[in-house]
Amino acid sequence: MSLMDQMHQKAMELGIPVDVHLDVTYRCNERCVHCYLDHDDHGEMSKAEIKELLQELADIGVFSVTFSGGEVFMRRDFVDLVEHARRLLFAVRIKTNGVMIRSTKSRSAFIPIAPKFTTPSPSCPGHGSAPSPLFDS
Amino acid sequence: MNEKYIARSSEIAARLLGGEMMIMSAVDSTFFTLNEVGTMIWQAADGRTPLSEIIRQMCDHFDVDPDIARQDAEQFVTELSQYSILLVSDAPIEIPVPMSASR
Repeated sequence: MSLMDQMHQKAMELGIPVDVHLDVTYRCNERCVHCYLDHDDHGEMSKAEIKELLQELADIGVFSVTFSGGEVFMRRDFVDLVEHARRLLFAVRIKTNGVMIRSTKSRSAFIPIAPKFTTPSPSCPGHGSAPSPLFDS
Repeated sequence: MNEKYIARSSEIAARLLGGEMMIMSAVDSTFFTLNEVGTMIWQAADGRTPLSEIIRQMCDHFDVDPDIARQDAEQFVTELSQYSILLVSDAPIEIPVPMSASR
């Protein structure tokens, strides 16, 4: 069993949702025929509400957050939300159609934080690595 | 022997789960779990507390031989620093403190 699997099993035993999927908007810049969203205005959480939610998730032990929507970059405050999540030490995943990243403004905001958009992969050779045990543990 | 200072990298994701620290490198997604002792070192790695002081606290807390504690701690620090998730310096390290660094 990989370390990641062990973490998920332990989290399950402790009743902690180790991975959370968070839809931050219904809005989208595309109208894909296969999409399950209706794109109607159902409202969305404010930046302050999402930041408060992220803090609560961190407090209970959530390890990773997946931001999705809608199209996440339809929110002008989306980069702020990602930066906030990173300050809380979440592993952050983002689901986006990528179209809006082409704009200069989005690119300048996106590129500095892009290396932090880490998605663990079962095939990643680093998985399973662990430092030497301390003492006899 | 020169004093060492250690600090947690900001290029990580980390969370305390059931007393053990889960850490993922944002650089290459390498994933680590730290046992109770490793977690204590990690939480103490504020860039300002000398490693020798952290080891002394370990000895007090875990009732372990100081030589064994120092040897294990230095090996632990060296290995984590090789993955760039722990920063090591001969001088105190100034780092922005993440909101949940020790959670």
